[in-house]
Amino acid sequence: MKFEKIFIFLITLILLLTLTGCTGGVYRQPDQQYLVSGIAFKRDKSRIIAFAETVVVNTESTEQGVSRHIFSASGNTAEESLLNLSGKISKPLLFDHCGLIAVDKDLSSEQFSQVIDYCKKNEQINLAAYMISSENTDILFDCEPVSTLTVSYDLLGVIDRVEFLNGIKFHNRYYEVCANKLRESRCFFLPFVLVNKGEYILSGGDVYIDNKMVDSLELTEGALYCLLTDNFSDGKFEDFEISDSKTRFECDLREDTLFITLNIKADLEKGDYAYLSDKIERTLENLRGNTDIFGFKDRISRKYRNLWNTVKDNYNFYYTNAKIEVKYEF
Amino acid sequence: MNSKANYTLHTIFLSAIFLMGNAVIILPFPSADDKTFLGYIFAFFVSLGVCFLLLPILNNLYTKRNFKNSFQKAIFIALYGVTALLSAIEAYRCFYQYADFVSKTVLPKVSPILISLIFIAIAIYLSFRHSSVIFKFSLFSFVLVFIAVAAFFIMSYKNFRLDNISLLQLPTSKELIKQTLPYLLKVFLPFLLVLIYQACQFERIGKKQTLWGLSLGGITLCLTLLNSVLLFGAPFSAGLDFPYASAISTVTVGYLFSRMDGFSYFIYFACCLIKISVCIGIIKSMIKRIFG
Repeated sequence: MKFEKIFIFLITLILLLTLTGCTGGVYRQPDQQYLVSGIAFKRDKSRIIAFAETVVVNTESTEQGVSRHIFSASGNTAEESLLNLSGKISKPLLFDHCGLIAVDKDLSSEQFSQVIDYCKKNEQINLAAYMISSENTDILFDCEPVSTLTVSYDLLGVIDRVEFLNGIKFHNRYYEVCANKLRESRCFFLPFVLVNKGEYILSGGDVYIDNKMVDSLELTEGALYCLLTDNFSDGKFEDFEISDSKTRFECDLREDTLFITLNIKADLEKGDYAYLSDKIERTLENLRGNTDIFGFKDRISRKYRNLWNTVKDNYNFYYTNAKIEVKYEF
Repeated sequence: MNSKANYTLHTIFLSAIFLMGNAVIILPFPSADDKTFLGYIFAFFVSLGVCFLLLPILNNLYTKRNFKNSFQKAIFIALYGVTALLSAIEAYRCFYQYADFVSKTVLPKVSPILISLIFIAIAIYLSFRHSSVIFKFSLFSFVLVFIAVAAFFIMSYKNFRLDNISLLQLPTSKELIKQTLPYLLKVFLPFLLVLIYQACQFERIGKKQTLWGLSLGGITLCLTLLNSVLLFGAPFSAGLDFPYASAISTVTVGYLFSRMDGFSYFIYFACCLIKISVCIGIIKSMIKRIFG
């Protein structure tokens, strides 16, 4: 019994000494903590400039409150630019509270890949961080936050609000973007944020394929795009109010031609049916192009395995010549 | 231990938490695809059938007996030796995965050897205490684990995508077997060890404890698997080192986007500690039978 008590005492002592950080300077709590709320990346030819919006917390004097600072640095890669940024401050940046990752729409495919890989490697960055696209990543954090501590957290609220009001489901969380990159289409849709006279506006969305921005849509077009891709929840846009929407996908291959049918079923609570269907048809024609930005190949590969085996090696040819029909049940 | 009736609930919860063990850290497996959830369900029902088929055989083999001759004794000694070896392998696998998680995620700056020594010491200590200690620890641990798993599931619900598990086309038998086998071999088959543990403790394996233990453990583990797959999709989850921990990390609260993954560490600690302690307990019992 005595031996057990000594043993338990020793184990507890070892645990207390080793697991509570009492090992020296590296773990000494700094007087100021730099909590990163959002990061942004801008292309500078072959280099990347990283911007970090931080909340600086004074741990020794809570009366001083928190303050917001923006830092930037450049590097050959995303990781290098963030390391240089951290080196400028000579304090570790804490990414545990990073809620936003903004990418410049002009980033090359490889640079975008570096951003994704760095965020995965840095386990501090939350997989649920929101990703956005912008052409003003260099001045994004210069805006004044309106309702929260930082512009980054403001934008999270704006994105949620647009999704709730307009029914657009961006699926732009970091993990959703990574998951979409693993699908056949490698297609994802990021909210597009514009900065105008010191104010940020979520003005639409950018469609990316293989880490490269391929199309830019304004809000209404974005909502119609989401209807076509079955990513629309209840919401309003223009003069329309739509709820309970579901888009069924059907596909057939006849005489070397793909026949794709999209059955859009929804409750049109407000707006003219003919006008809406006309807008959907025009959006489909405008966005169709030679690249499948609707992710039809994901649907085909999951639902029509034999058909997919036939078309996959020459999918672009089949897609370009495909007959796409939209049917409505409003 | 022979007060069977008092420990029915304890045994059920012990069995459930044993099943979860290290599986809760690593599921879904790296080979998972869109049919992984179907594979899990299939493996669960197959293992239910296997457990009930093997129950009378295990009861016969692992309850104490008098050997008729030295040949029979030799066969049983070999059986006990193999059982001890399988328990050791299972304990090692569980310990390795837990230590890997702790050294990469919880305590990255602490030496993994120190973490390992402390954890092994606790597991050995627990297994050398009276077995009622493990049963009582399992009782309250499973309740806490289940509450935590259910709470995280509910908190993640709004971000779930049902099309991550929807089957747009029925899988072929080859695809189904490919998804079922890993769950069957690495998650459900080791469950037989906890039945052997029951036989060693109570001189019989209860049907009720087996059914409820497997079901409760299966459902709780299913919730953790669904949490990852519904959130990330099977291909992305399968590529993560610790899918469930990553899934929980997406639950954020407060104005500073604060994470809640710390609450999940107890789940892994309790499941792995109990599983390893039970395996050590089985090894102890088998050694006693071989040399006793």
